[in-house]
Amino acid sequence: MKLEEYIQKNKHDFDDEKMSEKSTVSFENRLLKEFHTPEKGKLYYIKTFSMAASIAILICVGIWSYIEHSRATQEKQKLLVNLEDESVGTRLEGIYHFSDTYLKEDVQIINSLLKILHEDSNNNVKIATIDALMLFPSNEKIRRNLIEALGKEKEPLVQIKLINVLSTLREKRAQKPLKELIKSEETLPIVVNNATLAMNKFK
Amino acid sequence: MKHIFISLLSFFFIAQTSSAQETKIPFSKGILKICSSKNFKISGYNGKEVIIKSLHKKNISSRNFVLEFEKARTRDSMNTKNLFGFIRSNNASRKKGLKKLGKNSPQENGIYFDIIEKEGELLLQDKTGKDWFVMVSDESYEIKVPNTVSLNWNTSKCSKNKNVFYNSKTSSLSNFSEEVTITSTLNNLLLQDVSGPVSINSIGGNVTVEFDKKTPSQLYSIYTNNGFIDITLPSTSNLIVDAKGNSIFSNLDFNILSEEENSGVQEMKLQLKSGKVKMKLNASLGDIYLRKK
Repeated sequence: MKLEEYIQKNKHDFDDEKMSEKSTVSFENRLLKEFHTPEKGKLYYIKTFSMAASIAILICVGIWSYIEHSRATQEKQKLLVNLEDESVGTRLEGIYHFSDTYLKEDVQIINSLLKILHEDSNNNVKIATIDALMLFPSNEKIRRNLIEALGKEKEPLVQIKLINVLSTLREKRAQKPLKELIKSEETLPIVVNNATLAMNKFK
Repeated sequence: MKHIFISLLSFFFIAQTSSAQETKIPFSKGILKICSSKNFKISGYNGKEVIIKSLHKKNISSRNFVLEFEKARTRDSMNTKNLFGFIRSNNASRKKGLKKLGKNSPQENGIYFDIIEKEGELLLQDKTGKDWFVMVSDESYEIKVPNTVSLNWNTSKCSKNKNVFYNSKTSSLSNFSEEVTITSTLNNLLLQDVSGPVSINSIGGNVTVEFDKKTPSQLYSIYTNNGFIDITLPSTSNLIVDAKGNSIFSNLDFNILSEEENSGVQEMKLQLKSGKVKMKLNASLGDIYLRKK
């Protein structure tokens, strides 16, 4: 058969608008396969995957939070232990870690620092503590304790530090301990000079 | 010339016979506490005894120009006129060949401070009375301390009386590798190859720290009110320095992390290498010098 005759005989098969019967059957079969029977399975897989992913994310977040929390707790515990250590060097390491890195206004640590401010026997430790407490100048408890410490402190170098700090804070309630320091016979002249300068700033 | 030679010979003879007295105290664990304004040259060593050697003359009143002042009753009495009313100068030549009697008599070993041993603590303390304090002393001691003992050194007699203690000679500490805490009023201090941890505070004393064979390996914390802080370091030191003072000078190649200047006080954060060891320096009104070795 010649090509022209074949085209003439099967001309409807070349029509773009009309699908062949075979194709229709095949198409319907594929539709069924793609959208009906497997549809539920695919959704199921998507849902399962989403749930698993969510759970995995939740677990990861939980683990991360737990690790972070325990790391923070461990850091805080280590800090608190260091602040109470017998060694001056270890106490100083603790205070410097707090003022350089930790930087949180944690009540327990602040209380520990206030205890050091009133009771520690080493001047470096006390001065470093005053610097650390000065990170929170608006904390009323810290301000009250600094004033109280000035009234009790006997070490000249720490006295000078407290005078300068309270003067920087413009803490007028410090005037009473300052007057007492100026009046006291035990106070070194260098401390009297610093106290007098601070008193003049309050006027 | 002959006279000079004889005098020098006599001087060396006297020096040889009247000094270099050693006292050895077995002590290798705990704290060596020194509460004295006298001059000390302390060094660490690998041993098990604290060895004290007097470097001054013994018996012929080593304290031939010790000024002792009665505690001033009021601040007004601390003026020059009243202060010098209490000076008591010992007459060395009059005492020559004699020994002071009584239990407070000078020791044969030339040591004129108390040595008290408690549990875990060896205390070396000035012999001054309750209301007296030593203002100037020409006594000088060399102390060798085991490198397994911590040192707590106060250049006063550790009493609650806040009198000023002063010795014009610089006291020193060298080759020490245990923890050191030093409290001084006006005494100058020199530390050589002391690896730390070290904490020093002083009102007006100058603090000089030199690293020659070692680098700082643990925390250094130094506070002075108006004394200078002078530190010589190898450039290979691994440090982070927080320095605060009137002015900061250096020829080291620091990485400057931050700097501020408030009311004429300079404040800087400086780093060498990765900044492993902390060094906190606060000279308030004094200057800070950081030198390259």
